[in-house]
Amino acid sequence: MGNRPFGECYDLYAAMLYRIAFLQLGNREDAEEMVQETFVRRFAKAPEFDSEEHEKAWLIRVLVNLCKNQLTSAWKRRVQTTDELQQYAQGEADTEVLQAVLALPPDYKTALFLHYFEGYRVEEIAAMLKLSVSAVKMRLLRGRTRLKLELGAEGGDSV
Amino acid sequence: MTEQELRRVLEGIRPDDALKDQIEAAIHSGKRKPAHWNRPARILALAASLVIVIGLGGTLLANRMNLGLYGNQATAEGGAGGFMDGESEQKSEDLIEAAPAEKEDITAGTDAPMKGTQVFGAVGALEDGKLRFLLGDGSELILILSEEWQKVFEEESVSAGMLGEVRYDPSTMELLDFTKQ
Repeated sequence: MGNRPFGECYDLYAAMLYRIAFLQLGNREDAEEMVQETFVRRFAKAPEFDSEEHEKAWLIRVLVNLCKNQLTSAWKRRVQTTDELQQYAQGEADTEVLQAVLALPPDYKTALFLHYFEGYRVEEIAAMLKLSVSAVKMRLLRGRTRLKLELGAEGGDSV
Repeated sequence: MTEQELRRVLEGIRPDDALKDQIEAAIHSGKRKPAHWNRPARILALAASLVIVIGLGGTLLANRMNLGLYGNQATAEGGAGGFMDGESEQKSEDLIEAAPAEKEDITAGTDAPMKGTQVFGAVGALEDGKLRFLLGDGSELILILSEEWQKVFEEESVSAGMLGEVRYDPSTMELLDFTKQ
């Protein structure tokens, strides 16, 4: 697994990593930098992985830590334009959804994304992010509640 | 919002096509220069930081110089006057009493709260919906558990000894998050 060529690794994980970074940081430039740094570390260290899941979890953990550092950095860009969101959203409704997700605390966004988008179980997220199962459950619960509150419960299935 | 809606919107977030080549070049060259280093905002932020640092440094230096001058002056006066008479001695005592007392540093000790939101490695006890921590300086920190947290603690059989880093809201003293040891 450690010898997987860059192209293959990028095609498998780049989109997922970019989504996590964008949700955490809220802008394209910082997200691209964090994804770049994650891949540079992956290939500089070339760690041995037991499985594809192991490799994926390693990449997610490195990326989340890098994003946390970036969020506490003085360099953090605090301006986010609607134009930037519109490049990813189709229409006003999508932009509103994206804005609501981005407005969540970073910890909630990562937990929600990994659980509802990537399909990770609560226990897996807890192990990946070095958190207690309870903490992950709480983040998911609060994240769901916040999304409903801010967007209104017009949808049928709750997130 | 439905789960499907959220998924669809998140699917739309994709990296630029040029990113792959950019990262491959960074891996091969070993250069980790940020891809967007030349952003005007960053340059402005750097310039502003430098101005603030120089300004603060200058102010501190000026303060130190002023204090030094004042101290020398006082010493010289004392030297010139020789032994103090009773009145001067009383004035000196009044000045000492008038000086503000040093504030007690409540954040001293390795177990003290960091930035007011986090407790590291403190000994905890869990009782009556509250978490009690004995900090390094001997003081006690009491965090309130919301009903949600109490339920989770009960369901997960979480004990105080299992807690690692603990984050709390300093305004409400409510537990926000924790890691396991």
